[in-house]
Amino acid sequence: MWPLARFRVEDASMEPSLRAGDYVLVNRWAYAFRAPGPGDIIVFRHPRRDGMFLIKRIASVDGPGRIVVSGDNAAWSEDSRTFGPVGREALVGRVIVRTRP
Amino acid sequence: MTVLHKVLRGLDRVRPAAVAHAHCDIPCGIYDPHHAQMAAHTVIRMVDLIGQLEKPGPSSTHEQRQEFHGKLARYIATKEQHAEIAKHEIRILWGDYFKPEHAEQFPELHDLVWKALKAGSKARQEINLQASEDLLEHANDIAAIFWKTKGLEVVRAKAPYPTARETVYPKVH
Repeated sequence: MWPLARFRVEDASMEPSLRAGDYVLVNRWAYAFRAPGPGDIIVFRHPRRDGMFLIKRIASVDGPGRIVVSGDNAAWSEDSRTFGPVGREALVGRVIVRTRP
Repeated sequence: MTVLHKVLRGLDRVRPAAVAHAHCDIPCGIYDPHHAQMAAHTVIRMVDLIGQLEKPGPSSTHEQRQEFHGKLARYIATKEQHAEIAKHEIRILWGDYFKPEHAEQFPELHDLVWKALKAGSKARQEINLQASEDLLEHANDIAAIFWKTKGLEVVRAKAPYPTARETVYPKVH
């Protein structure tokens, strides 16, 4: 599996770190040798909607595989407050590069 | 704009990147049917442009034929893209914005959405002015319901675009 994946960002819950229209490169091997940690920006599969990817920041990790995510723009974010912690298996990887128009 | 961003944008055109949502639709509440209406106008415009395109005759040069095919391909690509944008925007309004009480108040809503999506598919698949106009008309009706749920009156006016079709606008004071 190629380690880099491209994503285009939509919606506003990660402003100002990420804006709609930004591209991000995600390292899919990021957590092969180390565990996800607070502060990492990750792309993961939506726990309730098939085929949809979300991009959020890790707020905390409660034990193995329970990753609490939140949007930087917390007032406007659908995150672990609505869908609970995210499982490790839902992670695509960690954002390593952001580009902006 | 960084070089990397340009590269990624170029790649996106060849092979679109997946979308990662920094999702906010539950509380942010920012919706507008105008996206769907504008996309429908674009579809109509592309059908018009395709119709106006002069077909190169038997004595045409290679360059003339190439220009014809280039333009035709661009018009078709844009038509398909915007038909899809219109459908996408209508689905967002339908799935995310409208609530059960709106559907009770406007019982025709579900049928309108269904018709708009069907017209959008037809306008995408075919070079079909009627389907494109139907797409706009249904998008207009959905827009009228949308603005009424916001407590705003609407006006129907000719759009200030080359398509100049009637379009529903909110009366914002």
